[in-house]
Amino acid sequence: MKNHFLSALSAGFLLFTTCFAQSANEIAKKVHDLPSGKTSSGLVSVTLIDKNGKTRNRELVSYTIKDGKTDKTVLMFKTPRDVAGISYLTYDYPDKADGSTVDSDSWIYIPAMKKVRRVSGSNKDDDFQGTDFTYDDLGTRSLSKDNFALLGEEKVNGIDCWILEAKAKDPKAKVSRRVTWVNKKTFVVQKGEYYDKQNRLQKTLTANDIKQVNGYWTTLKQTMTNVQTNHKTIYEVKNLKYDEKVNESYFTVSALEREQIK
Amino acid sequence: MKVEKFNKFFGKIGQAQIRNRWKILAGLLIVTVICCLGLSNFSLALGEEGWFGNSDEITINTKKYEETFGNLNGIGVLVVKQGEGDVFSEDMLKVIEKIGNRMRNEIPFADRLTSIVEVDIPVGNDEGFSIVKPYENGIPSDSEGLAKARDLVMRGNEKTNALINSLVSDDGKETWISLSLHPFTGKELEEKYGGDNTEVSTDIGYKLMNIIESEEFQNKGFKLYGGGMPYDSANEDRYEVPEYGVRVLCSIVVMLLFLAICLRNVFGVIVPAVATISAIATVFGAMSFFGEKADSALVTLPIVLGMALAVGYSVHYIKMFKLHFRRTGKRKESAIKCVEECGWPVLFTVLTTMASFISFLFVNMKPLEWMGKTSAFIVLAIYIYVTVLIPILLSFGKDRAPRATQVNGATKLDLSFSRWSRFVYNRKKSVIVICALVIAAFIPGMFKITAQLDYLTITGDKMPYIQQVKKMLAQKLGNQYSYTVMISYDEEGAFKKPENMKALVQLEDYLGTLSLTKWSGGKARITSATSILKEMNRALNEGKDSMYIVPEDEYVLAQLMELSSIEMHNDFSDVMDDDFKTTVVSVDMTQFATEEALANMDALKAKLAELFPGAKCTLLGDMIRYSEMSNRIVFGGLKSFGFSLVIIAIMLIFAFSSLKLGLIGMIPNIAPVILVGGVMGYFNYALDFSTITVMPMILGIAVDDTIHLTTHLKMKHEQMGSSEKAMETTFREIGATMFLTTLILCSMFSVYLFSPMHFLAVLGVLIIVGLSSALVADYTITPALLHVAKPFGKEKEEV
Repeated sequence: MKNHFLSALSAGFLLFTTCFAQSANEIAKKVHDLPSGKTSSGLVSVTLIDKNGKTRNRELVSYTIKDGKTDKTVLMFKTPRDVAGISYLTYDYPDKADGSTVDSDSWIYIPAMKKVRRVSGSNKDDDFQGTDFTYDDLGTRSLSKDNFALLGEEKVNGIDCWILEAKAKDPKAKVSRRVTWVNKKTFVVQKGEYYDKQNRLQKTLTANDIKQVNGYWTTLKQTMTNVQTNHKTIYEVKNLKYDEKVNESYFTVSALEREQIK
Repeated sequence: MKVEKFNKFFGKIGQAQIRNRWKILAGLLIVTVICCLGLSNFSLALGEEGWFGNSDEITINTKKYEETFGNLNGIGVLVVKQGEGDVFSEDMLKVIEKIGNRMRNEIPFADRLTSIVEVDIPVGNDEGFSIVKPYENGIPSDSEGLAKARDLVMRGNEKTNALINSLVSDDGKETWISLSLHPFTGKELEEKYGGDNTEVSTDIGYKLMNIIESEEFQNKGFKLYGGGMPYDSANEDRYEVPEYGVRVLCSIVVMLLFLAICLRNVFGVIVPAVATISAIATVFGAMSFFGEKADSALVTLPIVLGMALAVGYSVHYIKMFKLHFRRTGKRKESAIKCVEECGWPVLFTVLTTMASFISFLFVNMKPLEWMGKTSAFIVLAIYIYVTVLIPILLSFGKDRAPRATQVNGATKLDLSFSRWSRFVYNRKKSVIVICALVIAAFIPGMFKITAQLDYLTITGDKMPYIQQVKKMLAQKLGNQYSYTVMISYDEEGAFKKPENMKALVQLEDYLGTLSLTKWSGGKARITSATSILKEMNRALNEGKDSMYIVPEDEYVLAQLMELSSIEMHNDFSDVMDDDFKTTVVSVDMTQFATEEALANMDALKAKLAELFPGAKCTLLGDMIRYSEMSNRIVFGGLKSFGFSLVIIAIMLIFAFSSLKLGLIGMIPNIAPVILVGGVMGYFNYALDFSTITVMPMILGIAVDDTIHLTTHLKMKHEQMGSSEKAMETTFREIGATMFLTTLILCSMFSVYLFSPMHFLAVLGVLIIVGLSSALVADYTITPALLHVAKPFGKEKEEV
């Protein structure tokens, strides 16, 4: 009798999970579309740790604003001394209706030259500021770039996660496959593994500090380790504020030129 | 010390040996089987990675470099368009793309690929700059698109475009596809290669070979040449290792042939052959068991030498056995007698030969240390196996009636040697003068010896892959040798100071003036941080060619460097560390010419001290390793030879209990060394990693005959009291054996003469010259000097 009860319970549970199971694409979309504020500001601390354990730190102030469907970002280096004042302004545009991506617009201000230069052609696949993260790793990678598959479920630090695989459609992509563990409840990535073209593990991502800030789920500290070079980067956001008023004029080329960003 | 005493001692050993023959045979068999189990771990060290030990400064500096900048070694494919057109056609670009993709996908530890299809070009314009990938959207199929991409890659000239005559030749006919490699560490190394770096390197080389030689890239329209240390290691493994195998097999055949001819019975062939092979297998097995890798280039030397010496020792023992067996017909007594009479001289020759090989430990180069150590062990093992097995195995069988037909068991040949002894006695002074003149004639040649480390020259044109390398070097972008200058300050951000960057620019200019620096077109093949800084500076200044310079303003320079480190991180981190305190400059070379390279290096060191007074400057790479090897070969060779000379002289003096006899014994052994040196100088055979072994080796082997001769002579003098009679008897009893052993040694090393590898052929020539001249010296100047000097004391007739 007891066995029959257990079987029935298992069958019921299976039916339940099947009904509510989500497709890989749906999960990927939920991760991609995680809500964030209209504006945000904070201090980004980037710590680079080489294979000998030697660390270097850079600090940047960061401001973002949603202007319609365009995401505008301003980053300005605070430290180290020689880079202080170098600022970046980026406009990220949404994908086109056919799913193809639109190139961002970027500008860089170099105080030593007192010049703003327009930067184009840099790839989202490229390293972010010489770190182990790419621009894609820190932003929201366009869904059209990958094919998704659900590899299973697993607990990470006691949290139920989907194991989501994203295979790059571009055969030339530096990272051919990303496997992420996505929190079933919040859709925040808990950890990740990134594979190179020979399908060798290249990088591992660990989300160290996930919190709700102003009601938005946010990873405040994450570590990317390149297991092939034993180099790692800790990316940390401090004093993060969402939906607070930011100076809209910061998101202009002239603000860079006038060294207006504080 | 009386020889009789030694002989009595060895006579007792012989008796014990025969008494316990079954136990000894069983013990030796067990030891052999246990040691041979280690042979499953046998492996060869390929390439130059094994040249320097872990505590060597060169290895330490290389490790320091690799900690900061990654793997020092990379691989590459030089694509050369044949006939009309250049590498920018659709077909050629597709080939380049395919090769690149295969390299990236198939080569273990692949890091970053660089080719004209993948290159990032920072382009400045009025409003800013962009990083342009000429073939980002694929390879165009229309002529307009192809021309546009070509123009972008080939923009400007070699002075304003870092790619021209570096990545691609100015005529567009040649281009490199290069792949940097991750350091050989981690799970992959342990799991796939058992933690063995050399295995990874060889595997990478073979994988590159597979790509280059695959069907899809066999086309008359272009040629592909591989490059890089792993590729060289694979070539070495592919072409040289089988050649070494052939030489060893040839010497085994020669050994068996000689044993058959000399000893004329099956037993005489099988026993020494089994003893030799067991001894060599035991040493290699035991060394492999302890993780000792054999050096590929020198591996044949201890084997061939071991076989030759084994035959020599066996001939001494078997001939002595036969002599007594013919006289007495008693097998066991004859076996004991051969131990009694040969035991001491053979042991003494073993000790002197071992001493000469141990002298290679002074060279401070791993392959030579390995060769010295292994040869010394093999000589010892051969001695043990031959002297234990031969008397025991000879003792089995029936006694027979003595043969009294010959004088004291002597053959016709023995008697003719006896007559030769009288001839030398009658003309001793003339013999000494003639020998002295011959030796003097070779002395000037010794001062003409040079050192040579260029493996293309050493290996020679007969090897197919050397021909390929030479063809590659004849191309505009062809490159084989390079070196790296690492400049390191203690202070962080040192290279953000304009004066240090200015010094770096000056260093590059200076490097261009060095005679061995490779030039492609009008550009010296030098890579450093300055080209990236110049590109960035130009890109940030509206793309003006006039701004293709390293800025002199400190603030601008500092930000430009930080920006380069951020925006072009991968490329910049290859040449500048994260703290901006260490930078590297890579220099390609036209060729490796030892003397010139040493001069270039000395000049460069002086310039570095002048330009970067507060920095630590380190030179790394092929040229530096080769220059260091040349140094060590010359000085190490001298040290090794000096050590052999002193130790053998001491041993001779001690063994003969006579300073005079010891020194006389050295003269016929120095003579062949002078002859070998003269031949090297006159025939332009340079000192290299193989020829360096000849002189101490000749000294160690040549002294064997002198020891046999002198010991026998001393013994006979003790018995007869007349040096003339003692000499006659000695020549009758061992003159033919000395000839035979030298003939065997020379014949076994003659297998090297027919090798397509130049250095092996030269090795064969020199060893044969050395050993045969040593024998001639023992037949001429040694007896003549002994007759003149009378080192054995008063003659009985005079008393």
